[in-house]
Amino acid sequence: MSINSDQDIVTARQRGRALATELGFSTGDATLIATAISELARNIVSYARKGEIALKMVNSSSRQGVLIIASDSGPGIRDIRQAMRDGFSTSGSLGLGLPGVRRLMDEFEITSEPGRGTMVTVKKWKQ
Amino acid sequence: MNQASKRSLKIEDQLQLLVESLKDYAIFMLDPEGKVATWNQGAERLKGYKADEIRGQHFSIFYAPEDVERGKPQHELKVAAAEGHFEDEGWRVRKDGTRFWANVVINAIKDERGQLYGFGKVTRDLTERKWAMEAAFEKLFRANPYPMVLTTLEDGRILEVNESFCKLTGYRAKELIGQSVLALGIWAQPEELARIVSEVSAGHPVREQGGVLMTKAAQRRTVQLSADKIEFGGNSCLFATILDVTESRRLQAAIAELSTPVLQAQEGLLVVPLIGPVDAARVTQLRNQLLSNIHAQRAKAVVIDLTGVPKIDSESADDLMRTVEAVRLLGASVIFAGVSLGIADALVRIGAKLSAVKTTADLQNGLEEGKALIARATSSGAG
Amino acid sequence: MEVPILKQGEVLIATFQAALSDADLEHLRRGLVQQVVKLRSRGVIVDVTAMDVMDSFASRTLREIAHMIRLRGAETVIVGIQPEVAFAMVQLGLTLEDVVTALDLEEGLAYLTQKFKNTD
Repeated sequence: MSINSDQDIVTARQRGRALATELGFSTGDATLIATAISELARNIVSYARKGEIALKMVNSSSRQGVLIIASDSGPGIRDIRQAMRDGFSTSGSLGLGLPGVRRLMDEFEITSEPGRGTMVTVKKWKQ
Repeated sequence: MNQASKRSLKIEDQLQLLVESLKDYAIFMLDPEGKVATWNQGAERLKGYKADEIRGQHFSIFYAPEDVERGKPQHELKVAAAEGHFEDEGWRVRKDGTRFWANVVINAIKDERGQLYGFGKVTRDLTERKWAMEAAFEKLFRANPYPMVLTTLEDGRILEVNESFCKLTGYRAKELIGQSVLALGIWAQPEELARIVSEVSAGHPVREQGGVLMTKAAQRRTVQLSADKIEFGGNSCLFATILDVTESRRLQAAIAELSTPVLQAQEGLLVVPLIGPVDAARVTQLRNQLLSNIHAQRAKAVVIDLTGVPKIDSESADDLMRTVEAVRLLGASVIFAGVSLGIADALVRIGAKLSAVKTTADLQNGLEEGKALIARATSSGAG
Repeated sequence: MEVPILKQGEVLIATFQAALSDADLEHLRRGLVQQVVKLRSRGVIVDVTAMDVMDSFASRTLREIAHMIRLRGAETVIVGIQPEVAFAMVQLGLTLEDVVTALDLEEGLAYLTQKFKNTD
């Protein structure tokens, strides 16, 4: 789904929660997933104005999970390592919130090219 | 040159003799169309034809009618001609109509210009080995301590079960065989089962998939299922091995809960005595339990007794402080009792905001602090 | 969007709904602060029981509300954060620092009553 307004953020996280619930995730995990989607969509609206969020069900041989891909062709991130810096002492600053999103999910991947855009891929597995 | 050709002829003769005398291998040649050109003793013994009755016949005569119908003989020659080589194991037919399990190797023979000259075919009878293997596998299946079941992929009909599977489900083998898994209601989540079947049908093995089995006595068992697609009796089948994890799960949950017991000291005051090494998993467990307990019991203060925890790594310290923050978001306060030097060190190292948490020397003081805190809060409630 | 605000004595109670967009939150913030000024309230309770996601923007808005209302000499209590929402918030690093929180409306009112009594 395309993300280009604050209303889309709400729609995206609602769809995420619905998918997670349908797949049998616990309420707690569905909340983590919805919150991660909200943050990823928010980054798109704030930094790239528009982009896409794709929600998919994924299966490994033994587990079921959700896959979220947030992509945009915005300004990109110059220093990914800086953007991912984490620790309790820095958690007060908001920044891009990416370390937080990583903590909400089980798997996290980011690729970004300055001037060309950013793609964040995250997964959460059902317990 | 004469000398050389004489000598090579001699070698060819020797080879010829050798091939003819081999009794355990059928070694013969086919012309490019697949008609039998040469024959040896082994071939006669294995397949039952004499050299003069088989020469000139098409080699598809060695195959079962259903294989001939699918064009298997032609296919094998085509592959051998294209790739130079073809190998197969399967049932072949003797002159008297009986079958044997054969290992077959076909080599394309080409002249120096690359023109196909014919095929060399070597066939071995592995029937006995196959029976021995099958008997061993059958024993492995029947006596296996893990429950196993073989069903058709198409309609989930049970073809075979082992003793352990009967024991797990409470059914007798004869009550299961021929029945559909779905109709029996053994698998408690039909949509999960459908997913497993479609995974396996697509050729993806399933490993340690969690699920719930219903026994004949309608008891639920938590299981892990691994499944593969196998060919059995001409059918595409699903072969599943099951691990009953009901007891171990129950035990795990009990241990996890025990490792972070949340006790109520008085109304509104919870105590969590942590003893022994604290790692990230334990802190997550603690946070989950604490948050739901605070909510359910309307607690205002939580004393986390750390007297029995000598040290903590920075990741767990981070998690512990996040727990404190999450408790505060629910409107309750955290008191750390008996913070050891090791823990103090870890908390300082991660730059924890210690204003978020009260600390006391020991559990006794922690409880008093907690009670005072609640008294202050409830005196207002009355007013 | 109408701001659902209830006046109870010196306290204003605002109830936040589940699916609030950023614009809705901005609107609520402005409306709430205006009401505090207009009604000269001493305390505000923001009830977020229904909010199933609290992301960085919602969290920042709540802090801004509390800070602005403090500048008007009144006190804010955020009540009703659900356990799983609290868990997600701290994973994101959102801790509503220096904002008072309480379990629910009842506890929030009790806190404010106590506070008023001490300052009277």
